[in-house]
Amino acid sequence: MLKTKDISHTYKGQQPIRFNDIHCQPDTHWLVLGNSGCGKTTLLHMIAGLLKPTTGNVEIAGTNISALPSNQLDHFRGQKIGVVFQKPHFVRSLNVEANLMLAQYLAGIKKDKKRIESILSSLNLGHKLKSMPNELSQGEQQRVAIARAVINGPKLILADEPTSALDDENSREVINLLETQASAQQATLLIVTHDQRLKDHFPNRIQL
Amino acid sequence: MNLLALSWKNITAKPLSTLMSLILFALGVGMVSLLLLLNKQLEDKFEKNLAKINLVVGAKGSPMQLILSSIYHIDFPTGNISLKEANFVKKNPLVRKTIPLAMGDSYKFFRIIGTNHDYPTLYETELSEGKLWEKDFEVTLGAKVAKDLGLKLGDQFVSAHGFGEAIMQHEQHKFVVAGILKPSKTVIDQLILTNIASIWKSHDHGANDDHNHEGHDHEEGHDHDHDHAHDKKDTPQAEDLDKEITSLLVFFRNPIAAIQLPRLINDKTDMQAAAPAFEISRLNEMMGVGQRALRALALVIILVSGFSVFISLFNSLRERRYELAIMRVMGGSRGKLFALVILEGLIIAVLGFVLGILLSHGAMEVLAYYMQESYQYEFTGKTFMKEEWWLLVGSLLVGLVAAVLPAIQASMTDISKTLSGN
Repeated sequence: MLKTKDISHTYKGQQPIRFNDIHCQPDTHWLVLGNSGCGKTTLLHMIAGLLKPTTGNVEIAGTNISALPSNQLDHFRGQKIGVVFQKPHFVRSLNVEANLMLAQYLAGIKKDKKRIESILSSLNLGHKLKSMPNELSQGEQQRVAIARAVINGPKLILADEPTSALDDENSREVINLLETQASAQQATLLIVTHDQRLKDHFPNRIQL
Repeated sequence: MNLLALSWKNITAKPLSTLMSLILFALGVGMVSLLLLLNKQLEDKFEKNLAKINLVVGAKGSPMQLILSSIYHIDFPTGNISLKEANFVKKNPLVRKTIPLAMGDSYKFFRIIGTNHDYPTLYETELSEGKLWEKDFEVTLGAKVAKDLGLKLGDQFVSAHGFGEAIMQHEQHKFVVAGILKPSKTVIDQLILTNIASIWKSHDHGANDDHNHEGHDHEEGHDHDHDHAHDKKDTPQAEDLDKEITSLLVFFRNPIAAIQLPRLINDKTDMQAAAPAFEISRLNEMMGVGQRALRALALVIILVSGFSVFISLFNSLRERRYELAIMRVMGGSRGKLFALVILEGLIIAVLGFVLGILLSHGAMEVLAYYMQESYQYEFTGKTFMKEEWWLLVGSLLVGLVAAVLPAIQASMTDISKTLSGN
């Protein structure tokens, strides 16, 4: 499902950061652990196609995304990859429902209000359909971000420090939801974190 | 959800800065469009009323005043000329036709013009009811006169001396409405036409009449023939030669007249000859300076509004850099982000344009009301010009140019850097 081969990235004027090859099967959940500054986010961005590897390539569902031209990569990402970031960002002029519709529109998938409603209610957010993002609590915002990441049924779900800003309870809930949603679509889930609270939760771990 | 809806949401999410850009845009567009409207309608009026008149002969004075009073009926006449001298022009072999005009009286601000039947023919007017004047004190009304004053066939009225408020009325003589003309969109719509003898007679109060005319505007010479007896003739005859008229509209037989005739009249007689085409182009030139200044100001306002669109888009991009990056993550291409920002600029341009057009046409309607009162000329804001399409194209260009740089910046957003920089 997800294969990386000899990937490395060199920021301007710095030493290259090299990563060991990763190989994840469909419907498996992974935790990538590492301290701050060891390149966790760089790795995740390269896997998500947000950052081009300086060397090596990333293969997702049989497609070498490192070789895709920009437009096709955007399209591929929209349909096949869902990303949850440490801090959730939304289009501020749109409400929750419209933000999710935007995700469908940008990925080139048909508008589906029913899907939006069912995802939101599975995340206990059914009543927040018409709320503006900045009216939601941190935990709620992170749950909407999860909804947005899974709305298009991606094959790969990436999460970058999804719990670091949350308390224990919210953190546990977010991880549970991520795992449930990933399992529901048989997607590969890869969580990048330095949050030691999650360590025992995942049998598949990659230490950077 | 699509790009258009999203850009609309983005624009309405920051109403104050949007309003600022819109107001500037509307002001600029409105000013340009108002100038176009005014210019066009003034030119139309001037052009139409010119009616192929080659020359106007009248008393010495300002040639422009002579043109304005004799053709457009907006200024006061320069004075009177004697029939004898007028006939000198009429008999010149270079002259094909002349139309005499006698003025000085009015009824409720509408001017009464003594002339012959050639005058309504000149403007190709048709009768709506009744007939053209025949006997003394019969009048034929322009369409607007009849409509505004509610006069009907057979109605009678007393004229007032001068063109303004009825300070003194010629009560001895009553005018009778003999006919009403159809609207012609020319100056004749706001004139009351009669024969020349009626104008003379209404001033013919008898030798003992010692009214004085000081204190109100009217040309000299109208009331200097009080003892003269005259017969009822439609056009001035030989025995009226010491009578006076106000001016003479002259039509040339051939182009040489344009060179010879004005010099002859200006040098050899007490009259002056003024060429309407020349005077009007002089008038346009004089007004042109102000118009050019206003137009330049309007263009500056449009440029400033474009700049304000640019600044507000640029600022909003800084606030929106995370959501732009997120949109890329969700599958939005560079092209989509570019189009999104361009659309925001264009929407403001279109809204500003529509607002500006509404503004200018509304203002024109208000102006038309006041100009009608002071000039007796009809203007309207309910007309659209093809130049306004060009104005739309121009507005779209300004919106486009203002949005291009922000749009490029939006499309170049470095997703990874933005999102990892918290």
